[in-house]
Amino acid sequence: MSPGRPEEVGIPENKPGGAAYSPDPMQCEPTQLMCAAKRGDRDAFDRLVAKVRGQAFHVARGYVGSRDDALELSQEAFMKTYRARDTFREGELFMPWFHRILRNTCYSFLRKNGRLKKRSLNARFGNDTTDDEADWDIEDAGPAPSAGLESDERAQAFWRGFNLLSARDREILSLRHFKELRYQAIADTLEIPIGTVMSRLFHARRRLREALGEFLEEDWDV
Amino acid sequence: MNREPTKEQLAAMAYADGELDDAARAEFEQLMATRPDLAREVAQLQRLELLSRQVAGPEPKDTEWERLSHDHVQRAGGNVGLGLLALGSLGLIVWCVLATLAGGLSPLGKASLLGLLAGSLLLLFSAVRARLRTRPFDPYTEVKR
Repeated sequence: MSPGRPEEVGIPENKPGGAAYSPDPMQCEPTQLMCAAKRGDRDAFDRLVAKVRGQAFHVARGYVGSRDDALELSQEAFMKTYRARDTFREGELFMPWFHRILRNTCYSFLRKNGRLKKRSLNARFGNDTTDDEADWDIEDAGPAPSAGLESDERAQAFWRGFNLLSARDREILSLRHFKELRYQAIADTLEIPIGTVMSRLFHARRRLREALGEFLEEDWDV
Repeated sequence: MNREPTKEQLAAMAYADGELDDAARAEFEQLMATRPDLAREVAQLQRLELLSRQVAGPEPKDTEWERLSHDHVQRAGGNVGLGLLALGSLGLIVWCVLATLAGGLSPLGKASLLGLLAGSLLLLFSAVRARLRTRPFDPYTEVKR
């Protein structure tokens, strides 16, 4: 069987710069609010924060694990966003810009705590070593962030498996699984083509499934 | 290990994620009826989706976000206080050392006092260093009452 491409399965390529490019509708409102905030509308910024903070929280938690740290880092990213509002260029999408701020905030936190580790030569899932921090390991900070499900064996297994993944895998899985974003919205947020979203998602899920092993083989209701 | 996904595997993933349009979905369902491996793939992806939703937990409430903005002021105050305390302690130690050296104590008294001060400083430094190194891996920072 040959490798697949998104358009072959009925999902058209839709990337920035392409002739027929149109961003996900969910991108438009945050962008408009950010433009208003840049022009001095403080209420618009508050509405923007209320709209996207759930997504920011899930992505940050995917990176750092702890719920409390994720909350603080999301808040910090919003403060940085507000301080940098003058550098936001009208015409660009807000979410990719904000996502870069959030990602850098989380990486700084992990680096400061010595938890961002370059993958070893015998990387767990056959990945090559690379200098791109997105491919690095994030060291586990302790208990799994299962929000009240600590006693649930399945939840613990999930987070154990999740914590074995690279920063890049965690990022895309958080956007899809915890925030349930569509492929186009993920592509817009990460500024990558849909084909890359599908490929990354496929590999990240396969690694997570390998890590979960028997927990996905069990016969339980879907 | 990092084999690229096949067209069928991508279709199975897009089907499980609800990304296919009506025509592509119907076409894939027909294919799936003859391919148990694809049906198993879809079932596993759906289980993974369900499991993720179960473990994701609720998003923070508005009150939690509000508390954070208050915490920020509290923490800034705490940091300034701690900084001043550390600076004051250091100044006091330096003053003690200078006063000891200039004072009328015997050489043995001076040496003892300096040893006491140096030991206290070293112990404080070691304790802070050990705490900073182990804190990221301390599971008890996550305990909730």
